Amino acid sequence: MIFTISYNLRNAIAKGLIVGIITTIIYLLVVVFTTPNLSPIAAINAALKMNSMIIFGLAVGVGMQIFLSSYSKNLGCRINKKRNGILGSSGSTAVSSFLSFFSLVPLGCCGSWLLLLSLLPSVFGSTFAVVLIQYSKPLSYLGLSIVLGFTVVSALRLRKELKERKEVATKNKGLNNRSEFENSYRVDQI
Amino acid sequence: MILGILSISAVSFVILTYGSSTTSINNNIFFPFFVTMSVSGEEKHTVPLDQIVSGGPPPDGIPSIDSPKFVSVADAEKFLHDFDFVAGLNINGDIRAYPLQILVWHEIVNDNVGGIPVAVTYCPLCFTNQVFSRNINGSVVEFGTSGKLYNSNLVMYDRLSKSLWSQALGEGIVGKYAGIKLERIPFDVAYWKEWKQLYPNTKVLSRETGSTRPYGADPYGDYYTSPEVLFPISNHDNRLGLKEIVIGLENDRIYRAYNIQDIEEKKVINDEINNKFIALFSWHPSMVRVFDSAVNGTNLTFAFDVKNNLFVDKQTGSRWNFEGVSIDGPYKGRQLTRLPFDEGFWFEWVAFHPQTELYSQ
Repeated sequence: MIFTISYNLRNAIAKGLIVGIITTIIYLLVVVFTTPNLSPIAAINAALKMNSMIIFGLAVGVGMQIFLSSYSKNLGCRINKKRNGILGSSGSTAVSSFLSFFSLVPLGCCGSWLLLLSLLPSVFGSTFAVVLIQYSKPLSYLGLSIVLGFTVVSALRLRKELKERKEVATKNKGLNNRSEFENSYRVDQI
Repeated sequence: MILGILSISAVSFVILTYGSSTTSINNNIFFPFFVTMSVSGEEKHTVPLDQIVSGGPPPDGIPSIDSPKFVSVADAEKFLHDFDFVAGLNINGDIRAYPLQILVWHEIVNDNVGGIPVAVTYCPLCFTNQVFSRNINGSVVEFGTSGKLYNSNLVMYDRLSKSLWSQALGEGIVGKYAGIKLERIPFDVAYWKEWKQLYPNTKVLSRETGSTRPYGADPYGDYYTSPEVLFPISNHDNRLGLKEIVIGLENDRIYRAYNIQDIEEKKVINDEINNKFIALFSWHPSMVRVFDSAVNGTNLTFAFDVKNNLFVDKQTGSRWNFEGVSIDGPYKGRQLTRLPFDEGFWFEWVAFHPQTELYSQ
């Protein structure tokens, strides 16, 4: 059996894959840059050990978002009409990545992330900073689940849109058949 | 959009953190400006320079506390819990506690205790606490964080000569003071609950440090209790778990580590390192004191008197308290000499002292 996939689908898959891979690369580059006491390989290994779920989860979530948005665009659908989906998903990705970076503190004493965390109270206030640090892990997973949630919502919207289109197409086909019959009947009478 | 946010976050972080950095040694091939203090190969050094690596922040990026303020036990109760760790000092009757929840954000406190200029230091990654005299060859110096690491341990610098100092070795490693040992001062690591009970009039380091930090939140999370470390260790030794806490002692290049759990269980360990007789006392959980067991030329051997919660020497039957003072018997009023020691995770002790012996009875 030979599967043929349309140009639109192929194009959307490629875009999704590329963006997913780029997201992972950017994440790992941030890890390498902010952990200069470790060799890049050791830093990446450590990040993968600690945050593999977040790293791959975000890559999948972001890649899927791009795939769905690209595929629907090519089909002429608009699944994120108000751009809230894209904005929410991007925001959650950024927040989730940022919070997951907090777990890099134990990679080096006096490290970059310790310094960054120490600046949090001047941005968010002490109480909120304490909450962010204490609950960074569950919060980063919450961010990831929001990203994946947006992806699922986008997929459902696309499915609904495609279903509606199919119904309209079937209806139109029925109407076309009927008008063709009526036209031919008229021609016969003449 | 997503990539934009991620990239902007990364770039802003780098600018925010490293904007003011200068040049120096560096092991990161991607970020040549990830550097802090300059160290040239021509400077005097006692450890390989390529093993001193940048942790990221510039010197004093993690700020030391240079004008510490202190509060009473009652005020400290507002932010300390019973099972919070404190580093405790008692010098000439001046008793002070330094909560690790504050030290974790500063790593060094430059203080004067009982008339002695001291630096109270803490490296969270290795769980090494050390208290040093700040008097070097007659000059009083102030220490700051260099932003560098040696064997994953804090590297300090002194603001007088800019020499680099290894916290774990207590020794200058680069610069004018390379090879100079800092005088170590005996201290305690104790739960707040025990410390305030022992010293109800203790002063406690205030959260008013001059810096706004999220005190109370530990950025290292479950690092202390998780069994693994995620950075390379220069010398693996499986005799103990990586993060078991040990008391490390040295006498004339003979190194010996004691598992803190063993001391807690036995309450007292009598030992000898290279002809020096010592006694390790543990009266409270996580709190160990080491004494020179020689009194009047006699090396005393101690046992724990469970009934009275005291230590008794087998030679004279004198009873001694946790301060090392005899409160009863022929030696009443005598004071044992306290000895400084290293306390930290096993992986750190063996990284610095690969030839160490491990105490076992």
